[in-house]
Amino acid sequence: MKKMFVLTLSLAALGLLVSPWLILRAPQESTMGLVQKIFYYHVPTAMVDFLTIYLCGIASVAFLVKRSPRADALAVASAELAVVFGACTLWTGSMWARKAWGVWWTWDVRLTTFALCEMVFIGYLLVRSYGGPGSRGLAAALALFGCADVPLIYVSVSIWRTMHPQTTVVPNLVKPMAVPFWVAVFTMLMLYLALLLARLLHERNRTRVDELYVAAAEAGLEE
Amino acid sequence: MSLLYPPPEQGFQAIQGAPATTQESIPAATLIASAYGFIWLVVLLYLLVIWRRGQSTEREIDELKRKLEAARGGDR
Amino acid sequence: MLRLVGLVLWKDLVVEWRTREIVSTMLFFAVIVMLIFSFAFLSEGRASGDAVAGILWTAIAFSGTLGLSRAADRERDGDALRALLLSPAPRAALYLGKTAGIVIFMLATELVVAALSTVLFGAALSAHAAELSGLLLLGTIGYAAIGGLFSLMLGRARSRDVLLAVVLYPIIVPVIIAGSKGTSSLLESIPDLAAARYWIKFLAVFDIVFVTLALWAFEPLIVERG
Repeated sequence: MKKMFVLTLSLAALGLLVSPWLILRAPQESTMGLVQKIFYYHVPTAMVDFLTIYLCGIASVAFLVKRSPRADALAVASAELAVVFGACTLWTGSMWARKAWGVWWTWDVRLTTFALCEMVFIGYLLVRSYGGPGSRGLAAALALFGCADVPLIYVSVSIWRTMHPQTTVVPNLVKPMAVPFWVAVFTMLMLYLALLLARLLHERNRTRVDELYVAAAEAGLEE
Repeated sequence: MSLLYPPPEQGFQAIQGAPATTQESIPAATLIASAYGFIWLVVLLYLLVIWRRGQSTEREIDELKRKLEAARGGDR
Repeated sequence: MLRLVGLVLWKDLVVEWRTREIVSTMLFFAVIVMLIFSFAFLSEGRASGDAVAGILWTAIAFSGTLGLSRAADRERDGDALRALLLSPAPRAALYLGKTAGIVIFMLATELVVAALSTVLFGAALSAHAAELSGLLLLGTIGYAAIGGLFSLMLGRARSRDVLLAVVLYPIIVPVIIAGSKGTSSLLESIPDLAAARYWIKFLAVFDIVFVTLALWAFEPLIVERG
């Protein structure tokens, strides 16, 4: 796990150094101009955000079924990263919106859905921190319900006007734009994996601490 | 933002002509820098948080180990 | 199974009939929420259909939380929940019975709140009573299905009332959107019945998804909590 962490972290660092250069060299978009370059990081963070949200949902179901601490560790790590990458997506999107639409925020379907996902996972972390005994299960239920909620939120908000660019722009990118984009996707994915592994390593250490406390209690120590 | 509102009747003097900066003139480069900068900042902060948590956990492990050793040594 | 659901529900209804605690506090809170919002949104004594629908559903959502935490508190007093769980009754029956009780308390509140908003805001809610009741009933079921699960799960957590709001509100957002959009489409000068029916169908789908999920999740969740 540690080796994987070092590998992914170095790949992510490499990507973070290379991709801005590639993005700068990519041709400017005809109507939006310079601000379109936010897209190269905005969309990958959004992709990774969805990945980690659903990973958290799946790990939560696994935890509810099998009660395995490893599934729980994966769930809490992905939930934290969902908050991190969700914040990045919302912030970069807001910068884009300011230039493209003249406002920092609008109640478009994607924006609303992402904002609510962010709220669900902030709620998840709050429950983990302050929920007391049984909070792991409650948080798992929240993640599961949150994942089930995403498509429903999307449908319910999509009745309103949608001004966000469609996802169809991605497969139709011209090549000089596609290369930096997919490099950025790869970079974000590596960054995500590195952070996830770091978080899981930490969770493993926490388990070790708990074991030591049990051992200490058995050895007749106080605390 | 505040430049868009008329100044109070006495006291502050409004500058003549167009204000130097208005909401509409945030250059794209600033927005891009802010977008990319935010990602860097958040990721670095998160790494820092994990690292600090790891430090305190490791300290806890060391302390517990030491205490356990001491307790086992005392038994013998 | 159904008989057990009925028994749990009957128990809650009898307790509520004797004390009238949950419905009266919910009702009071819902009315005060409506009054507070009316100060914010009313102009010249009239409110737009959007505002009325929003006020109505906000009052329902806020007062519902109050009822949920009180209903869960009752099971906590004297460790009644543990006793119920130790009984051989299937856990799903317990969950369904509690949820049905909350639905009934909330519907009682909504009846008064809806009647009051026709009086206070001059909203023509009675013109399409069938669609409105469909929205209210299905919205309440979805709300209670999630709220009932979370409020029972929160158990003895110190800050359970705060946490209930934290976990419940983000998840029930689609209910509030569908409910208020559906209601406001009924309140337009030319009521948009097609839109209202769309939102009713949407709520039905929401209910099916979340009642199923909650029934599945209740068993593994309650084991850990107990």
